[in-house]
Amino acid sequence: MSETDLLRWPVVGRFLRWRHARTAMQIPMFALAVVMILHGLLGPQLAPKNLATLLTWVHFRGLLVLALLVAGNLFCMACPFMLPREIARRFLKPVRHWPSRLRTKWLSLGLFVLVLFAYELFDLWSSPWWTACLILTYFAGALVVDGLFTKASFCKWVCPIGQFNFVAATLSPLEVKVRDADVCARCETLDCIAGARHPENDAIVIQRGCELALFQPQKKGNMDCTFCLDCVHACPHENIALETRLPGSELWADPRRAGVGFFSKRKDLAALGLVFTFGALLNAFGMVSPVYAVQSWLAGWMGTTREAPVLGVLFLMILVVEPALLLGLAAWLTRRSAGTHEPLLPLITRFSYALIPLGFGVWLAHYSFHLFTGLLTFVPVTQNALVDLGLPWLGTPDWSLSGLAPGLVNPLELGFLGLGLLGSLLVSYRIAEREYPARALQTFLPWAGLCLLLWTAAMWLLAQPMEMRATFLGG
Amino acid sequence: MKRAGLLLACLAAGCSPAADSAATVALDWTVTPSPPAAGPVTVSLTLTDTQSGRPLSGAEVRIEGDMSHPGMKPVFGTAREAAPGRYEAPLTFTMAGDWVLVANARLRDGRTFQRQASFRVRPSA
Repeated sequence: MSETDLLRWPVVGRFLRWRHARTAMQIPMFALAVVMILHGLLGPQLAPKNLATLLTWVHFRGLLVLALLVAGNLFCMACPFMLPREIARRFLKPVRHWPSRLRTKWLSLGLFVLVLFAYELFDLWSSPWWTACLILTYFAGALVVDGLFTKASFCKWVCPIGQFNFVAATLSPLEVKVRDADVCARCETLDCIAGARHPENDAIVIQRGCELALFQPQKKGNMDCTFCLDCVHACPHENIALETRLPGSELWADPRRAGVGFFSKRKDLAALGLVFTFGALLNAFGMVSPVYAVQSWLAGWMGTTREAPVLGVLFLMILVVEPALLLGLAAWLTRRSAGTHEPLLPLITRFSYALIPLGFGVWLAHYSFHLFTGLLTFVPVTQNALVDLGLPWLGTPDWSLSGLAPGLVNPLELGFLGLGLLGSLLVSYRIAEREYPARALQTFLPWAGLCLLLWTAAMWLLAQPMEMRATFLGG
Repeated sequence: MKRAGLLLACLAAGCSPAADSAATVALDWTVTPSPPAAGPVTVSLTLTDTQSGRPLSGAEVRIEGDMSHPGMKPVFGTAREAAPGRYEAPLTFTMAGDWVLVANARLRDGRTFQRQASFRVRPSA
């Protein structure tokens, strides 16, 4: 497949090569975030009429996953949370390094689960105030973490949105990579990682290198890459490209990756991928009618009317018990097929990446539904916000504007799920081929069965009546 | 830049809901069928003067229904007075879930007020 380098494109390429391109993208995103926070805190507290809830839970999430599907990690590229951090770093230079014990994804994985849990427990989608607080928390988190620790510690080890993007970006068609490995082999300054130094004073860094420890010559894939393009600006040889590639191909390869290591040895990354996949099903499950029957049953069984413990059990079942049983069974069958006696956990770790495409398909189906069915609702909500301010510049709110009918979006959802299934089957087979070349088909079958099972669960969810509730047990 | 600052200041200051000028009005909601299900329903409102206990006739009442989830189109209905102080508006709940009904009313004496109530709408049978 011949690659296309976006950095060589006439207009887009020139813009991206511009040193201030990221800041230029961050400023409008930051302004939008400020408007959302203010409207969330001070505007109408009815979620469909507030820009904080509408833009966060309908437009941002939908555009995020679509951007990841058709391009890459564009949100991290234009991340508004980094703008105050960049300004602060002009005055405060952190000296501490991120603790070595925390240099895994476990903390960020826990925070990712926490956000999913808080989303359900506090019905974040229905609360402009809490949504605004969540956005503020991200700003504060980035500022505090990167105010205390060097490099991009927040992005790499903390940010839950970032982890979501890193996992989903493994399926993106664009990747930041070197153009010519020979040029890197001859390079003596390693500016892409060390940063470009002032020609007359070596102590002064005029362009930082990758803050996420992704040394370009050994960087493979999109994991941990924020698309900040610092490496592009730092490389004195203009040897870094933003190229097209086969989406998902990094999931079945297992080279040693700069700043990441081997996928097959990273249990934290494998767990992140599993939470990404099963979390997609859990998040979608939270929006359909049967979840309330399950919650009621669980509450009765547990003898409680409090939502937190019931949700806790539900999360434990879907994010821990279910994956452990299903993947454990698939790994056991694989081991039997391969005729080996290897421990199950490393086997699960190696194959777990195969489920990421299916998880991404579920996120795409879910979030694109909200985006497309509510696509134009930002128009009347913006009109209404301006009218509330006594500034009816855009006219009276046209509440008839919404989006596509659900029936029109359903085929798209089916397509995303189908694409996810095909992707997972392909990755499963390629991993089986890599691990057990003599018995690829036999060792692939258990994982194919698991993919089909999860796909069936997603299809079942899609067929359920939606019930957008913000109350527990009908309270 | 100044304009943007002004806009943000206005946003910060000007988004509070309009003041209720009819604090002595009691409003009772009923939705038929009960419990409400997705599909067409009738929203009935009874307006009473809490001081005199008399029904309030001749009001103009407009109902708006919003889901708790953003991105959903609101539904609207205009109420007609079915009996003294009792108003009925047809409305269609487009989906099951939590709905917030907002009544915007103008009384015969010109006072206006807004009240809201939440309803859980079950899936249609």
